[in-house]
Amino acid sequence: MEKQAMINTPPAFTYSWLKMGGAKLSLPQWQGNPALTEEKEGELSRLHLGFSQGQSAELNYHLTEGETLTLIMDFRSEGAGIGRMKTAGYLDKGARLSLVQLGLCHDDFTLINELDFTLEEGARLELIRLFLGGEKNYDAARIQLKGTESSFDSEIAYRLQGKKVLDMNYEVNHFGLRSRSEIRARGILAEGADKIFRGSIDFKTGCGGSEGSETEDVLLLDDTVHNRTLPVILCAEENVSGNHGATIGRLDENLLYYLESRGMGPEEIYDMMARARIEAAIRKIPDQETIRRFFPALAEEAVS
Amino acid sequence: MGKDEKTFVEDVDHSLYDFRYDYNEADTFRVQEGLSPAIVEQISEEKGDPAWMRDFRLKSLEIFHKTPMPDWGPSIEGLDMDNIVTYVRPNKERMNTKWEDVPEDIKNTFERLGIPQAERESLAGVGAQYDSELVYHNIREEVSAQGVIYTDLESAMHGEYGDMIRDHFMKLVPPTDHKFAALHGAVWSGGSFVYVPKGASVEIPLQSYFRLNAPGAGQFEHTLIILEEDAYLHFIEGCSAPKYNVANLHAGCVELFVGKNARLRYSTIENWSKNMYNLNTKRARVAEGGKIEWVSGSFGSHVSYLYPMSVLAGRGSRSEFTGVTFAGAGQDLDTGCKVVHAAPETTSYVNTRSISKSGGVNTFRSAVVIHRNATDSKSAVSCQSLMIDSLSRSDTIPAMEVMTDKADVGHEATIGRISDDAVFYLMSRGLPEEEAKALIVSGFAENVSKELPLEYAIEMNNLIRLEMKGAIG
Repeated sequence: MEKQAMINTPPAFTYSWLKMGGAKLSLPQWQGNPALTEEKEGELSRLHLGFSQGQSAELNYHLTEGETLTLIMDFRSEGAGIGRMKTAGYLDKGARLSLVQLGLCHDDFTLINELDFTLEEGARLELIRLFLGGEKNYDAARIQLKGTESSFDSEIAYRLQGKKVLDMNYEVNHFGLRSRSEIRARGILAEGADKIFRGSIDFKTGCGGSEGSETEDVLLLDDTVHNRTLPVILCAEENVSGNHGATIGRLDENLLYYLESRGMGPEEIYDMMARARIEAAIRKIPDQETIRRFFPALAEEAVS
Repeated sequence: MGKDEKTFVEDVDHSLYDFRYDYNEADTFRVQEGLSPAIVEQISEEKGDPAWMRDFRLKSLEIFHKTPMPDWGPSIEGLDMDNIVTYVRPNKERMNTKWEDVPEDIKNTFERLGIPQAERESLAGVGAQYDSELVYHNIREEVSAQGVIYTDLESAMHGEYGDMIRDHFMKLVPPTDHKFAALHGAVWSGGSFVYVPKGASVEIPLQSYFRLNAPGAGQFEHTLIILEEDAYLHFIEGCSAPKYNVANLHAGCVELFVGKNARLRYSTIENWSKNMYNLNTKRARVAEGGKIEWVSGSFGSHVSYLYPMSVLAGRGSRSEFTGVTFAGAGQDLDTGCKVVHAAPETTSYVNTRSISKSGGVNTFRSAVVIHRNATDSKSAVSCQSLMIDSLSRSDTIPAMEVMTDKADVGHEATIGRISDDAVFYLMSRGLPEEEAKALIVSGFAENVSKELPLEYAIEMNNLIRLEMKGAIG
């Protein structure tokens, strides 16, 4: 039996007529878990998850003091449907998690992907998310920077072509002194794609010396696309630095002129720039084997 | 000096404005507190409304009762409409065109605020509203000779501009827009009508000043400005009220129609007292090649919901918004702006600053929407927030919606404290630390003061006085 739910609601609201207050979905009764295989190589773990209709998974990680882990997750599905993935955890003092999530689901599949982590003193979470498949992706992350000098760094990249939806909601709560966060989102929209990015950095009282930053760079390729951006900073502490910036639209005219003067046509230029945005994130994946398997052309280029 | 002494930024000084005359019921006419069809009909009859306006008011009241209270912004729990008097006026003769004829205590009020002096020295015309009615309206002869109309809205509604007003009144801000637009539609009173004909340029500003003197009352003035093709006008509005222990409400409405290639600058220095709920709505519609410039200084009120909006409806139309908001103790100011690009080659620029101290709460809330047909449009938004202490709060919630690839949108926002590097630099040039910080904070609000006529810039700077104490380790 399905039930209506509102997900990806930000901690602060904007005008209701903009319809950015969350995503309304019909959710099934979750049944069963996706197929899961794991490859382990020391402190590296590759998880391959295969979803079918109505399947849900939740993985919890507790990294103890000083522990490090690199976790590469790829999400696939063979047909249409809806699935849910939640990755949650706790990083003790000085722990470090590098997490890569690759969205590669079938073109008719909807995936709800949630992240929920708490970081203690000196802990660090590095996140890379790539959206390269699926009809609809609902993506959320809630990070509590509880400890002094805890930090969160995220790189998000997407290429949406056709009637695809990417709905993102990132919340970083700064509690600890001198905690740091950075959210970078880059992507391309074409042929009817619809994307919303909500990023909220919340400086709580007592997080003196903290810094938070959000930047978004969206390249729009035609006039059928729909882009919405809601970068929020909430601040209850004086001694912090928060900033956000967004650039939305087409390529800079001067850049276009320069490349055209070098003999490139407009389509070629846009394709190159679109690939560059995705590849910048791919190159940061801390596992050459993953790059080789999923992005062989890039791996070859690196070798040559 | 104490090791822990910190830079002290003094609160906005309201003492110039926080004076009042003893409220004498015999000298005033007021309706009963609360809201009902009977009260709305009484107001309508009092004002001699035409039939269409009376029906409009009653319809608006219905909409008000059906619309829920907003639940996404600052709390307005302290506002109880059952205790608000929606119409108060002096019992004496109403509008005058000579200051000498204005009732003594009202005249003294505006004298203390410097309004008549400003009119003599630097304004093309003045409208002065006291509680629910305009008590004075005047325009210089040479401006009137250009065909410019500047009068109270009620007179204009009954005169030769009646049809024009009916065609424009609450068309940009309909009563269905939100709950307090509906309230305004039901109980509006006072306000100005300005008409600038084709090609006329009003080189000296017109000003309206709003004073709310009665405790527990509301002010619901309506400002309607129509600029024809190639016209120019700078309109300034100011407001203040004495502070009471009961809530006052301001739910005014400003509708601006900027014609083809016309330019309108709309400046506001808002300095309501700290018991005021300021739920004001302002909107401009700009035709081809036209330009609207908003200059906004918000220093008063207990709670504010204020988001001037520009609808860029014609090709090449432009909007600029420059604002500063200062929230001190007991204030929760939710301000910002909205721009809708609904035509090609439109441009918008937003530059706002906010300062929070002593527990004040500042929220910047904006929206930039670029429609599919707004090709080759550009928008840039910059909002900077300065927090003076950790008692206060500063939130920025900007939203952008873009539906075409042929547009360029940029946004940046920063939140922080006074930069130690900037202070160090100035100190290395010989300035004491206190002076260095004062200079930085004054400069922070300079985006607005430089856009105002000198007299108003001085007034604005007087509203923000800085007292620097000690040094920070």
